[in-house]
Amino acid sequence: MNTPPFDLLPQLLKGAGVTLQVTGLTAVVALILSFLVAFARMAPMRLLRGAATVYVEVLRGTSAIVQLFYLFFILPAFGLSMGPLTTAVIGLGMNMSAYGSEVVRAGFTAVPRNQSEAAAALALNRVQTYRLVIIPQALVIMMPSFGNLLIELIKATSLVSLITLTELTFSGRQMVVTTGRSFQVWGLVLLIYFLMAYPLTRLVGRIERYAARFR
Amino acid sequence: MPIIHSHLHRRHFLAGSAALAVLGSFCSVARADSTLDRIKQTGAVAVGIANEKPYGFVETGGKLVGAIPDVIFAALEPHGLKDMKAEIVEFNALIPGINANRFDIIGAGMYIRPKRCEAIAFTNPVTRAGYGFASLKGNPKNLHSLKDLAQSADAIVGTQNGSAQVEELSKAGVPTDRVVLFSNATEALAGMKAKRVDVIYFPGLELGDLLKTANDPEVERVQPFQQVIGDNGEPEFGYSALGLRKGDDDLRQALNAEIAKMLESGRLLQIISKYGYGADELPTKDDTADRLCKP
Amino acid sequence: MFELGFAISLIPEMLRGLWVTMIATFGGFALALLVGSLLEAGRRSGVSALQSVCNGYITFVRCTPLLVQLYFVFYVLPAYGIRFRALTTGIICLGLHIGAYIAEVYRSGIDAVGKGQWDASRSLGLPLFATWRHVIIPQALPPMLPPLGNFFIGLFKETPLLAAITVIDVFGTANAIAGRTFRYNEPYTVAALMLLAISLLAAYGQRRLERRFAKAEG
Repeated sequence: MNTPPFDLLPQLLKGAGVTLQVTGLTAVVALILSFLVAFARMAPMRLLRGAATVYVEVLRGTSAIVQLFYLFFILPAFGLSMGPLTTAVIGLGMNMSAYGSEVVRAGFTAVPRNQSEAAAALALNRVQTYRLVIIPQALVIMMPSFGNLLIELIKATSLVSLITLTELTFSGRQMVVTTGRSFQVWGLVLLIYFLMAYPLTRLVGRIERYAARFR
Repeated sequence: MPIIHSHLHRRHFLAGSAALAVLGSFCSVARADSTLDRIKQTGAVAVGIANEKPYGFVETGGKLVGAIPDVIFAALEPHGLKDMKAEIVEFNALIPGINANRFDIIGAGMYIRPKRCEAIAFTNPVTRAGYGFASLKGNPKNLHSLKDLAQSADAIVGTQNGSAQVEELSKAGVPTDRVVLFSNATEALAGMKAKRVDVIYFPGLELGDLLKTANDPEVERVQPFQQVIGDNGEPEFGYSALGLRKGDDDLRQALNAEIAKMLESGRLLQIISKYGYGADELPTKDDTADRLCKP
Repeated sequence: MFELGFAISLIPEMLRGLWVTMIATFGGFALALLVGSLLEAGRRSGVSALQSVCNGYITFVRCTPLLVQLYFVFYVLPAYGIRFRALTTGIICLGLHIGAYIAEVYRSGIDAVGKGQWDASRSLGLPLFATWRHVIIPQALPPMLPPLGNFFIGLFKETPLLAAITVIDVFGTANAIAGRTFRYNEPYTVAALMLLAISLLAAYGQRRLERRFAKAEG
């Protein structure tokens, strides 16, 4: 390797942009679904609880790549055809929400009982109790775990290269096909993923220390 | 017992319905017009390719070129086509892709094979080509045909998953544990250089372009190569055609008419010779999709 | 849509793929346990260069996707003389990747053993090796088992990625069947059901492991 492979960067950075785009969209979908599923699991209605439990067990128990292939190759035969980006966001979003819902549940159940008792003693009504006392504390407990899930999500987006979305890993494969410089291409791809994920790990570490102050 | 109670259910039910509505808007809308009508109206068509030379690929400038896309453009221009969009997918994602309406024509040089005809429709063929081997320099295991492969004790061959070659190897009696399936020719070549396979088996022209791009003295085209001989005593060729959805009969008839005209006038040869094809690689008038689809 | 007869006819071939999946899972996990212990030993060695290397390795591996690591080891290293068979490559990558996470499990497990244990061993005059062997590890191990079990299941769920480097595991078999028959529903459904069955079995085992060995809440 004589000259640095800067000419490979434009295509790869475009792929990295798609990676970040998929990560962002998926994170939003996963966050929303996590709360929905967690509430369903804590609901009084047995049917809802059961459905949510099946959702979590199946999605957590099978590989994300198998779920993505299902949505991409098999669902269209049943009339539901979505583009690669939509498939990726929904597939990964659902998969991540199975883990995320456990984080939400753990967050709420970790808020000590005496918090709601104290709020009642202060004559706060139910909505105020949740809004001012329980939810903020639960969110603080959840944040480090969500941070870790986000890091896992950035790495999981590499799976969507296998359903032909042109994110960073797929761009890497295409560049190897067109230029044949596999060491430089894959080396750069590894580096770019590292540069995207590492700052997040530091941030999550800081959030953990911040959250620990409130325990 | 959970702290959350029933008054949250209403909120999350509404949120869930909103999410479903958003989900629904992503799904494809049923098409009322036929594909051909849509192409005529919009002047645009989406072509599925596997980004392989010389069939259909995107050059560095971003333009969709290749033997098959060029034929598509020439055939549909008189019908109002102005703009071709490339959808790059893995080769074995082409058939489910077109059936999922991700694109309208398969421009990847897919061969007409009876099994494929069960899933999609083909136009009449536009090229006819044989296969070949590439090996490491010197062809250490001295393999010159599929029969050599089948008879060898330990030779391993690499080819593309989903391609016609897989069926050819199976018919020739090469056991599946000696066949390694790669996603594309480039990865197969990389696999061979890493000594994971002894030879790679691909269509002749594709091998030519692959080796030219690789420009590597360590690999070579195997000469001579014995083509597979069919039941009629003639070599078995691969016939590339345009892949279509089964319902698009008007599009198929329009394309077949144009292809026949181009074959007659010599325009077809002119188009494909840009990519290394010669007069030997033209199909004859008797080579129709109907005939080739029969098992 | 879904032909049951066709799906059933695929089962023998898919079971052969499932066998490969299990080899990759157990082989990868064994290697991960080894790699993790080496990394953790390196981090506790007191040699700061070694500590930095181990920490750097763990950070890098945990910040990059397993799939890209697989492509790198499979397609790039052979040019430098480092070449393994596809399944071996998969096992090595799984072991090197999950090993980085398991090092953390070892760390928290060992840290959880109270300082008093170390002091008591020293006051009894026990040599370092005996301390590890008879005092620390027997106490650190039980609470580590549930997280290790979790990573075993996690590793199992990563095995479909090996199909991307031509390993014919249960997922790779489904890919090959779909490639030659153009039918997608049956092979992938059979593969998914097989993986789910093993996953549920493993989850049941994991719950029992947790009941027996989980740390008592303080």
